[in-house]
Amino acid sequence: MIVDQAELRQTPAVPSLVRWGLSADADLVYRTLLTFGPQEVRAVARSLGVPARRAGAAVDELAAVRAAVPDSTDGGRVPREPVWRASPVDDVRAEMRRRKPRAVDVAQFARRHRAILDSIALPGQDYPSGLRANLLVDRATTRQRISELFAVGRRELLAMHPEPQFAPDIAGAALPMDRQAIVRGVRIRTCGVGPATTSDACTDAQELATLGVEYCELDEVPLKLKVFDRRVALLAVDPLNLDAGTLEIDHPVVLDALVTFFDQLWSTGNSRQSVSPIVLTSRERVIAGLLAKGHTDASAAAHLGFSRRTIAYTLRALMDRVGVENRFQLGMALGSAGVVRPPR
Amino acid sequence: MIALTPREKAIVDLLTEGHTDSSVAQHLGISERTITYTLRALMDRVGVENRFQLGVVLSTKNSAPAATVTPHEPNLLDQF
Repeated sequence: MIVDQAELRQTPAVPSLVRWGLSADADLVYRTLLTFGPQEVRAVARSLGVPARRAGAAVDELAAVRAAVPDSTDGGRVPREPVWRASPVDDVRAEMRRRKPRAVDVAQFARRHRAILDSIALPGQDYPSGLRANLLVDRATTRQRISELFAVGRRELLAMHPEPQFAPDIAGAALPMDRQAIVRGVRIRTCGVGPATTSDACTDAQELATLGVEYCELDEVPLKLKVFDRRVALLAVDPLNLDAGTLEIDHPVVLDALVTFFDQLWSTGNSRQSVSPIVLTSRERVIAGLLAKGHTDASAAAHLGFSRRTIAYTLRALMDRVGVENRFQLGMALGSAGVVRPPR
Repeated sequence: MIALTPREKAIVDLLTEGHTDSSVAQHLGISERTITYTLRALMDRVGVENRFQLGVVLSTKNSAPAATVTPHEPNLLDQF
C-alpha cells in the first residue's frame, strides 16, 4: 500500500475489534477507514489486497455494530457505491461495551408476558365488555395469518420482539413482507433487545439501511406482539414456544391499551436507529429529482450530459439496492421515504 | 386522495407488488397495450409524466393506493 503522508490522519489508539468478537477482516477494514478516511468497499479491497466480497462482508460486520456508517458528505463525487466512514473510536468502544452479551432472564420475560396476557384475554372466552380473542392454534396458522394481515395492512405495523436473538428463519420470512409493506407506504416500528442486525438473515447492512424499518433498542421487551393498523393485535400464547399458538385480539379498548403501551416503550428507547435513510448518491439524487419533475430517461440524459444507458444503469442499481422491481415501485419507495417530493 | 377505477387499482396493486407490464397483463388477462393506455390516462388525470412520478404521487397522496377505491373499508375482522 502506498501511503501518502498527507492522507494519514491523527488517530487515537484503536482497540482491537477482534477482542470484541468481530473478524480480523473487520478490524483491518475499520483501521483502514479510520486512517485513510471514507472509502468505497472496492477501494478498501484494493488497498488491502483482498477480494471485494471479503471487504464487503467486513464492512457489513462493521455497519451492523455502527462502527462504519455510509458517508453522505461526499461533496461533488458521484459514487455508485456508498462511501463508508469509520465511526469515532470512542463511540465504537462504548457501543461494543454496550453490546457485550448480557445475561437475559428468559423465564422472567415469559412470566411478564403471561401476566399481561392473563390480564387482557383468554382464548374463546367472552367478556362482559365483548372482549373476544381468536386462538391461532400453531406456528403455521400464525404465519399464515401474519402474511394475510401484512397483505391488507395499510398504515402501520407495530412489533415487539422480546427474544435476544431472532431465529434466522423468522427474520428471513419477515424481510420480504416488511419490504413489500414499506413499498406500499406502511410504517413499521419494531422494539427489540440488542442491535437490529442480530440474525444471519439480516447481516446485509445495506438491506436494512435501505429497508426503512424503524427500530428501537430496549434493555428488555415484555411482550411478543404485533399490531396491524391499530385494529388487530397478535400476542404469542407462550413467548418461549411459538408452537403453542397466538391470540388474535380485535377489541378496541385492548388495542388502545397495547398501542399506548408500545408508544410508552418506544419513547423510552435508549437508542433509536430509525427512519428510512434510503441514502442516494448525488447522481441518483439528481436523476430521481429529474424523473420526479417529469423527465423521461432521454430528456434526463440530455439534461445531464449522460447517456441514456447511464441513466438506466444508475436507476437499475438503485432499484436493486432498495429492493424494488419497477420504476413505479421506486417512485413509491422514494416518495414514502420522503426522499423525493411529488410535483407542485 | 386520488380515486382509482377498479382497473387502475388492479394494475397499480400489481405494479406495487413488483410485477412487470407483461406479468400484469398475464395476471389480469388484458393486453400490455391496455395497461399502457390505462396508466397513461391515469397519469394524465393526476398530471404526471412518468411511472416514477406516479409512484411518488400515489405514495404521498394516497398513503395506501391499494385500498382507495373500495367503497367501504374492507374489514380485517370479517376474515375470521
